[in-house]
Amino acid sequence: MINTEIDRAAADLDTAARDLAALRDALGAAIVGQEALITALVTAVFAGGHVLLEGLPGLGKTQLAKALARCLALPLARIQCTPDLMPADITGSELLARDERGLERLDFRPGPIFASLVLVDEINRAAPRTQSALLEAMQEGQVTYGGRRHALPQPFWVLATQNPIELEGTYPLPEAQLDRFAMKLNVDFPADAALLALLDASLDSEPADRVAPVLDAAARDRAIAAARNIVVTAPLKQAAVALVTATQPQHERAHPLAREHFRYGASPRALQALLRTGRVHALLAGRAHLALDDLKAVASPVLRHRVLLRVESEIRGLAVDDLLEEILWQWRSRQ
Amino acid sequence: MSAALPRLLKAVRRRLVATLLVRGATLAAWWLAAVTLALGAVHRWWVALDPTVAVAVGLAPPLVAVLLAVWRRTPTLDACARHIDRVCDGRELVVAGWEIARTPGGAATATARLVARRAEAAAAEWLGRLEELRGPVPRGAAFAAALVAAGAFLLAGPSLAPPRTADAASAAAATAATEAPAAARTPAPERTAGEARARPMTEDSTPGAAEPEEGREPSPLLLPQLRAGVDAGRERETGQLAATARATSRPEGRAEPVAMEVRLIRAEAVDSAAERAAGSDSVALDAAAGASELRTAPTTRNTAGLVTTLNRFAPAERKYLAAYFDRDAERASAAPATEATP
Repeated sequence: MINTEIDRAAADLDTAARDLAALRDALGAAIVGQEALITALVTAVFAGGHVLLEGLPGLGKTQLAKALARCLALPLARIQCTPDLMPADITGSELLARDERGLERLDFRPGPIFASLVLVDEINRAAPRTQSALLEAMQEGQVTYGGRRHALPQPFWVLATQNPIELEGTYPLPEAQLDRFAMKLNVDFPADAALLALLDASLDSEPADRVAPVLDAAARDRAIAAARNIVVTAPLKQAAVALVTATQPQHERAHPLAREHFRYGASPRALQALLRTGRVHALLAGRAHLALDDLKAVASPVLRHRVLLRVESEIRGLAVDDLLEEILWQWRSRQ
Repeated sequence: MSAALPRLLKAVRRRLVATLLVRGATLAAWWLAAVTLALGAVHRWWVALDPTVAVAVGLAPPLVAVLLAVWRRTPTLDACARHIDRVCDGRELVVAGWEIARTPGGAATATARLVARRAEAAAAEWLGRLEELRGPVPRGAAFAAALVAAGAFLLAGPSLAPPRTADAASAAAATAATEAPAAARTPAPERTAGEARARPMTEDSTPGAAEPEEGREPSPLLLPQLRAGVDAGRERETGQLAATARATSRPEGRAEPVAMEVRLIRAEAVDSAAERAAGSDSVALDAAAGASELRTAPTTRNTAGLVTTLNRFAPAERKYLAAYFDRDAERASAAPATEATP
């Protein structure tokens, strides 16, 4: 009996790992030369987190979101952010309508946020007021309008993109908004070989448009459940706490670099994101338990947008990723 | 569920403790090497030392340190699990399996039981690879051991160290050995008690070695003990003296510093004895007066018997004193072996 349960659990884990690997491969075929990015994206999505993609224009951020939606057989809603975008344009609004008896009433018309996968393009071009409209949706999975709560579909993921160089006319995301994203992924310029392959794959048509669904709803839910069953032991929890506190400049166990260069460290929400994404990473590796390497693999994308540099350090040109890499190296060597 | 995981953890703990011991022993060997070499050099060329004391000084501190380190740093089984994961690239499988196994209710879910099962399987495999978990032997251990052996060799070997006063004493002995027979043949000039008192009574007790300062306390006579050369031609002495001489001579017959102890005798006692003995064949040195002034140089091993002997005045010593201070050298040389009891 017990062995049967164990065997079933092992089979579920294997199936979930295979499904995630298949999803990763499918996305890799659509978005060439971004394997690490795709792995991180899958990790964040199946951990139930939202993703902020940052990269130059033309690197395939939107195509990646479209490919993911197709692979998961989910509807994709796209919000193109502009300075004049209003919150109601995202959440929806109430419209005056007449019923069959001719009585007027206010009907709530859901906005594009009411989709399982929402692509918020160039999120930093939206006004802070509009950006804040995403807060409740991203954190609580609901929208409150006119005093009424409207639940968002499950699963619900937000993929937001932003351009790191065109800063004029943009509104940098506030810390509270940034903290809602489980991961911030940097979309790097592909290597030469990847560019050549990209030409072959996407010269006449976008590969993302041709992607077939890889996971149905059942497989998707099974993978999410399997990730939640990954065993997280007490030493790993302690290690995750140690990592987060190492980024806190005021903490007694803060890393010296954090004390020197960070204005704010990672939040407790970062700790949750760390373990959740780490579990998916372990599942992708075919393991039933979380390992330190899983935490290390997801740490930078989870933490990089949650720590704030001091002004002096920014002026000196220090990069958060470099500092985090040093902190991670020391953290890993101490475990 | 098999018990491969606890067995693996305990086996690794034993190995980690052994590694700790080896490292500690290596450090101790360096310490021991330094101590034994230093003490060995001291023993060999400066001051003879008791090897057991040297070994105790060299061995006790590192031994205590190693035992303390082993006691305080013996790893827990949790630490052993982390060690195995680190060495075997277990990706925290052993840590997870061990926590599930030791925590009540740890295997509540099927996935947890799966992890425990995988950990057991891995432990069973790694039990056969325990050799890989052995820590490396610290570098320099053999060299440290060689140094310890060298130091022990120095400590165990014979000491070539004369006592600090022995150089002069042995020199005086050599001088006396050559001069005493000559003094026995050559008449010594008449000397008064005052002259004798004014005579420099240094360890080099040859006449005229040094002139005493006016008003100075009488210098002690450093009487080299048991100079074989002095008594070689006139030896008719008691067995006690002969036994003492044998005790201080080296079996190899090398230049052993025969006078490891010196007796300090006030010149007054000798002078008064010489005056009392004027006109007689024997000299009776006041034993009590001399003994009260008896001192010994820093003792070495094998000197317990000599010290005992030196508390009395042996006849040969009295003869030596008599010959040295005798106003009538011919009489002294004609009757050198007169028995006298102090």
